[in-house]
Amino acid sequence: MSSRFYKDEFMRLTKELEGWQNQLAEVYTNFPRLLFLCQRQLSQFMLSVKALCVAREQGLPAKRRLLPFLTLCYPDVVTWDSHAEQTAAWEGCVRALLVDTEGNQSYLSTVYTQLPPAPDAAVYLATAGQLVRQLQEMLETKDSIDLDQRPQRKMPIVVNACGYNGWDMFRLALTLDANPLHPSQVTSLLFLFGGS
Amino acid sequence: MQILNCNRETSDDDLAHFLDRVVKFPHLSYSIVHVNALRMSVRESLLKWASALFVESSEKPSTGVTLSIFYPHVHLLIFVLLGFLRLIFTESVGMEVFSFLSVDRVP
Repeated sequence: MSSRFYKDEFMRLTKELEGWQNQLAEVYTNFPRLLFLCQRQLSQFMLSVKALCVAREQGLPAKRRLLPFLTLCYPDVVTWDSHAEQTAAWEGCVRALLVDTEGNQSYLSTVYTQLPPAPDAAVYLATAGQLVRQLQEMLETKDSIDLDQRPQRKMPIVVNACGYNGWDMFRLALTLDANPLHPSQVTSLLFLFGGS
Repeated sequence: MQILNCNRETSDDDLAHFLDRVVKFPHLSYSIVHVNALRMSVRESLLKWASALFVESSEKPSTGVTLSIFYPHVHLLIFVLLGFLRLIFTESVGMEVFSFLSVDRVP
């Protein structure tokens, strides 16, 4: 086998990578809330959407698969101190997005009918973005949810935490944000800062 | 609060991805933890971004800032308002180059 084969393969993969990065940039422009997912989470989200589309899953199984990703995309709506009305509005919108009810077809069901015959990764990526955007449109109709993105207009600041041990860092993280942390964040913060 | 926990493996892409959030969702709070652990080249990217902000905000303090760092392919400057970003240093490595920003020591 000559080196020509490897060169061609390298060129092909490089071109594929560039194409994918361009698609990703476009998706982040069209569906900015996907920025709340890291690369690995976005891949998992796409795989979950793919699994749903292949199995045409509905209702609670679909909700179980997608809810973690949808929650991550709305850190300003799903907070530890959300009041009851806000939580109810969020749950209602998620249900309308994913679960068919009597007389009402969910958005997910309409997605299934619009899929091309042989969907590729780009289709699943766009579908994930559309689900997140559709949820935003639903949330915007709810009075109890404020999606107004008022900027803070502050310059970044440096926090000098030199010499802090894991426990100090954990306490620092808790004091920096007025919004109480979600229990899952507490666990991850303990992991990050080595607190015990 | 959105947190980017840094280490030697944190790449320019990871940083750019996180800063995109800061720009696109300016109503949230953000922290970059262990900035000192970033590789030199990545810390320089952060420094360039922060200094561009500083310069722009000094020139237009009431109207927000324009930003072209991380968008080199865009010819027009992009008008942005930022979320509140904290750069948390757990060692003094590289901290002095960010001295143009306010420094806070939380008790």
